[in-house]
Amino acid sequence: MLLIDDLNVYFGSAHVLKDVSLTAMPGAVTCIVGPNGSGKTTTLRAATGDIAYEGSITLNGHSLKRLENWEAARLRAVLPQASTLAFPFTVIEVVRIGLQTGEAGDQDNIAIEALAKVDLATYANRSYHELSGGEQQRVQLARVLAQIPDAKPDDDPRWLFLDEPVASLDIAHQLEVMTIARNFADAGGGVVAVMHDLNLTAMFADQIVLMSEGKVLADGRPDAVMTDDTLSRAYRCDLRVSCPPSDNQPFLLPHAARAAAE
Amino acid sequence: MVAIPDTGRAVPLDRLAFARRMHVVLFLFLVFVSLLSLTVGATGITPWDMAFALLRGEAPEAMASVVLFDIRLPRLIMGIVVGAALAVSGAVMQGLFRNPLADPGIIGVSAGAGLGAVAAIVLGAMLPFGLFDIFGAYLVPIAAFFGGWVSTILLYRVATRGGVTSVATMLLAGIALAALAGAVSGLLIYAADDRQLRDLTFWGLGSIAGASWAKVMVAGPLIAIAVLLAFALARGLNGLALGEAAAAHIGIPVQKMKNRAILTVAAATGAAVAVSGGIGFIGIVVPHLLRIATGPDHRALLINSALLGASLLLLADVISRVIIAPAEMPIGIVTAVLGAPVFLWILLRNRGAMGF
Amino acid sequence: MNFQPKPDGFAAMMSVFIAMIGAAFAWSVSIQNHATASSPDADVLSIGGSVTEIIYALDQQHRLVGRDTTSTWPPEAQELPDVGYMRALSPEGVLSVDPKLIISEDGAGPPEAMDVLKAASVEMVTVPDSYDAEGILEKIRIVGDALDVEDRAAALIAEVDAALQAAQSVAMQNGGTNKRVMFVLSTEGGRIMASGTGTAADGVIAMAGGQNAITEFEGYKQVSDEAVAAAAPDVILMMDRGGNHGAATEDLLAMPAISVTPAAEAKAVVRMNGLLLLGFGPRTAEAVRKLSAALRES
Repeated sequence: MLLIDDLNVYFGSAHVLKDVSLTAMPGAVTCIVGPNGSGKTTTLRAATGDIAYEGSITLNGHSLKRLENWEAARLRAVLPQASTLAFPFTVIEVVRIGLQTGEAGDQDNIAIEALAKVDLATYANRSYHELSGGEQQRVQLARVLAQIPDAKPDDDPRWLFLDEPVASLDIAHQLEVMTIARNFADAGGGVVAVMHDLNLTAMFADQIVLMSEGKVLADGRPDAVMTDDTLSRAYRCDLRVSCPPSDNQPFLLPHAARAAAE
Repeated sequence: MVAIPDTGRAVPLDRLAFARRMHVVLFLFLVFVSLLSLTVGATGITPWDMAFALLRGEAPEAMASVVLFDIRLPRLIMGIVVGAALAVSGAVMQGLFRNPLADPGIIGVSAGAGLGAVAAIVLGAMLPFGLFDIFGAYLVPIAAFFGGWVSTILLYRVATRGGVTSVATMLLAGIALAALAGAVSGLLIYAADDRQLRDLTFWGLGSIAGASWAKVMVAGPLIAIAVLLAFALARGLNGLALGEAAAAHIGIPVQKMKNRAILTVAAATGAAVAVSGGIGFIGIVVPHLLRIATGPDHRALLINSALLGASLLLLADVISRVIIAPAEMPIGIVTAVLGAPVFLWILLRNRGAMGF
Repeated sequence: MNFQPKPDGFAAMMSVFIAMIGAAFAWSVSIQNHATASSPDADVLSIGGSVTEIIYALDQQHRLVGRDTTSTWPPEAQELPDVGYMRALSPEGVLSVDPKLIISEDGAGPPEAMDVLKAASVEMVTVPDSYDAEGILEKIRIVGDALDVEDRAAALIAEVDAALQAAQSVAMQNGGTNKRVMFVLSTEGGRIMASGTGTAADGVIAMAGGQNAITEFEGYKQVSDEAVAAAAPDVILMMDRGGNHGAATEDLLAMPAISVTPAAEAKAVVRMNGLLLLGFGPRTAEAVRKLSAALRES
């Protein structure tokens, strides 16, 4: 269980997160959504140990502040929003970097399987720098999956922290990635994802945390959080849920794509 | 690359295995160059002459003993140790700063060591006579080593706040420090007389000709330990290629790693520069060549760098000893003449593949 | 583009390395048979231009196996193997010319090389510098001693002594010229490196009846433009580097620091061969004569 209690974060004198509290359960996909600048990524960064914070964050009962890097790496893997790679590694080598710590040891099968999960198995020997942004993002996800291949190898659930994992992907791969997250949660692991895309969030999330201006505005099941009123307040924009367009403009929902595959 | 039809997977090419096989190849190369180094010299004496003499039951010539044991052998060891130190330090610094153009001096070691040497050469005569006697010929190396440490520690302090070292700050502060060291050196050079200036010039050009057993006994173990410690940084440096935040996420103790990297490089490079002056290019060219040939995985790269750096330095030393015999060309000239074109060739050939 | 590990590239590199090793090896084999001694008695290495001159003056050149870079006189000396700059000797290089005795001016180095040579049982005789007439005679005596030719040395000493005294008395006629002389070692990069006291230049200027214009420091150091102007030399003395003097002199006198000196006004620039002028060897009497004549004329 990820328990965030009274989290306050300051960047210089700016009070960026104000008394944020949330709970994410294992076996569920928890999505943090909100407009730009609402503090979603900052909350995630606090939970992954990147920034200093006041308040309490515990993961599987361990206080984050007392976990060493390697101890945390065994419990959770983090997919950042954007990645740089300093040297000309190949795709398989990047995935193997994820293998180096975490519990998997140096087993190449795990690396190959992780690549297969993100539909990049045939890319193993290509140079990372030659790939498109979306492909690179999927390689990073493979790296993350190589670090934590099993959602629940023992009594402790493992966690995936994903920062806008589908931002640069096409719709097919967006569904693929979200399905990976869903499967991970179904296997007993915990998933916390910062999302921009409300449709995908509605499809895959078990719990939605809606943030605005550094505070949690709403927290609960999708149908409870995604109401016209709540969303409009958060995004400061007149929004209507579950409402098809009034004219004959074409529209495409990811929900539909999934239905076709099934 | 092969796609196995039933699983649709490819067999990943293992650059790491290839790189590990290179350990053997490079080791053999080093052995070969070491033998060459022992065999070649202005006097024409070879170890085989001595071996045959011993086999025939004769006592070897005195001069042969001196040449082989007091000149060539310490020089061989020094060459291996200095070459390995420079190449590994270069690779570690490139990994730490995530930039293939970093060289070992980037943490201030070279600037400080240079300043120490200049100070010792120009001001050494002003030391109280007793002190000068104690240090004697070792005044310059000791001052250079000391200078290298002082400047590294200074840079580290400037760049580290709240227990976190910012490599970007270190880089910029290093530029400032190098400028300052250059200014102070300039002052000392201005005050130097003709003889001191020549000594400075020769120091700057680098040489392992002054390799004595005393120097080898002190610098050798120090560099060997530092280089071995550096090898343990390999996984950390791989992770660091993803960025510091990602490296921390996969469990690497980033700050500890930085500390250890800076420490080992300061020790290895400081000692190397102290005993051999300013030898350039090995630190940049060797890791580069290896990355292109065998991939950037540091687990193999660091070891291969040590082996190849040692070999190339020895090779440069052989050339410096024979090319204008009986005089000797400073080794820094040879490494520059060989290194610069190779460096250019690398850059031109691989512009796309290197990610910049 | 699929990645291929470039084994062909690496193989190419390795073959280049191996070719380089082969070349180095071949080179080394080819230089092994250099330096055959000029005669069976040859076992002396001479370091320092003046030492070499003295050895030739004592007619002992048949004993030489090699010399250093500064030994340029007589011209025959340049045919001997050159072991390099005296403060950066290579121990194996020195040993390769097979000396049993090294006669050297002060300051041979580095110390590690000297230690190795001692360990190889090479005898070393150091000939100290002293920039005056007695110093030259002492050098001759020491060299003669080392080479076991004391009689010839004594004769040479007498000859050189007489020449020096004659030259100096001519120079000191009427109490010397009282001309202020500045010796310029180099003007590389616009920086003027001049001689203060305690140098060979200082010594020879004094012997030739002139006055060193710069006395504030010892040794050869860089002087500031204002120091040069304050020194107000009447004559500028330089080493002869060969080549076109006219242009070089013009450039020299055009330098801001020098253009305001009396020397520039009188266009008084004297050039002499470096070893002749500063060597403090057997030819110094000639140097003194030439210099004092030049000072009087300019």
